[in-house]
Amino acid sequence: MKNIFAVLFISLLVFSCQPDEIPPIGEKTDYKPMLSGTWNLVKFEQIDAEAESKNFPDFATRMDLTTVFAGHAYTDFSITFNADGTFSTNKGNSYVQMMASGNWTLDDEKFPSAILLSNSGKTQKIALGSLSDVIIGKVQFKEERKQADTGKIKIKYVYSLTKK
Amino acid sequence: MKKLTVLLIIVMSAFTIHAQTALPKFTVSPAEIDALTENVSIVFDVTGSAVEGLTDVYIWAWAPGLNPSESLLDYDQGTPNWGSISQNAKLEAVAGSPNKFKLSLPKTVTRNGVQVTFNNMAELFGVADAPGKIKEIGFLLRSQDGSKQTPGDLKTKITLLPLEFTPAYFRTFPAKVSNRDVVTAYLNLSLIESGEDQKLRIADKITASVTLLTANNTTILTVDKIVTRYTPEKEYAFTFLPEMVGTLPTGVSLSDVANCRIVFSGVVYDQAGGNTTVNSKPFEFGFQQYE
Repeated sequence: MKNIFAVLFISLLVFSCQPDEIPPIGEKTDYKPMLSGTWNLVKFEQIDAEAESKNFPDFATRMDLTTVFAGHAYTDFSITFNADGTFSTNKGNSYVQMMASGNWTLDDEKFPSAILLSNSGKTQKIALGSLSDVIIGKVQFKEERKQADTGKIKIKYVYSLTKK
Repeated sequence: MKKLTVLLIIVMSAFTIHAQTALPKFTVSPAEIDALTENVSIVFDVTGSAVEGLTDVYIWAWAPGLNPSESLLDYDQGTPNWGSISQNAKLEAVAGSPNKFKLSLPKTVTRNGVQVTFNNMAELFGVADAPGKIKEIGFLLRSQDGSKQTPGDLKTKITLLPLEFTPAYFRTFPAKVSNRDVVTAYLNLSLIESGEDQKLRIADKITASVTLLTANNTTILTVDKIVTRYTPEKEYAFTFLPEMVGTLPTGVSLSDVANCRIVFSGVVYDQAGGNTTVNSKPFEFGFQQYE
């Protein structure tokens, strides 16, 4: 009887020392279906990257350009990403400079950091902000102006869009 | 004879002590820099200092208030160690001047097996995200093993310009722009310059004119009477996009637009009911080359 308990005890010890199997943590998020649809530009901001790094006051660091041009509101702009990989933009009277139509894809299906727009051999890279709010219909595009010789970011533009 | 020998020893000792404590001379170019100034060059003249005569001179630099305070040139990884200074801290010898050495930014080095480029002092001290933390930089020059060194304790230091926003009579936002960017120009009449028509202070209906110019300052187009707005910071401002401010003449493209000239105007009323227009001086700036 004592031996049986000993064997059982050892067996329990051995089995309890087996490494736990790491459970699956869920499917990778597929952002393409989430991005599909029409997105309206609701805010367009310009940031002086150098002023931002120096911690200048807000009025000398960023500017809301959304309605700065009378009759040319940036809120006129919308972009539609179709599920079949095509896209189209509607600038309205805004000064947004983006391809009118073509194909769209993500730079990385699993961890996208940019949307690539292409048409007739030309490509436009639209950097993405955090995608954490895509599920609630919000996304940010980012555009950076870099100094040609140093590659240093000088000006940033932030496009905030909501899904129609 | 004994007295003479003692005197000689004293004199020799004085010279030796002087040689050990003499500070290296240095020249910073541009003369005034802040933590984000690029293309900085510092030339050191070690004549008479403790490191005179060395072929290889190293810089041990630190910024008071940082932790660690030493520059990233001084160590490759971990924490700085006086006894094992990195080869990255070796100054460049100035050709033809054996007592002169140089540190130039941008500087590309290998740290912990990774190639990095330091463009400014903030990057050199690892605070590119908070450059305002550096107010001054202390340094000493030394041999690799540290047996020879110039005085420390901030005896030689470079004071940086403060990274603070300074209101100005005229400014643009962003401070530097390319011809593809949205530009906002500001006029702060509370800071009007002495050479200006002081009537501008009391002028009404402030408008602006924008002239786009080529690289050799040939006028491409001028747009007048652009309406300004009055900002909460009490500046007159207007915003424009060079490409959309007017119609570029045939044969001219945006790439030809290199400079910009802005003039603000206002209306001043007299007691007789008449009015005159007063203009600011022309403000000119060049467009940057951004990708």
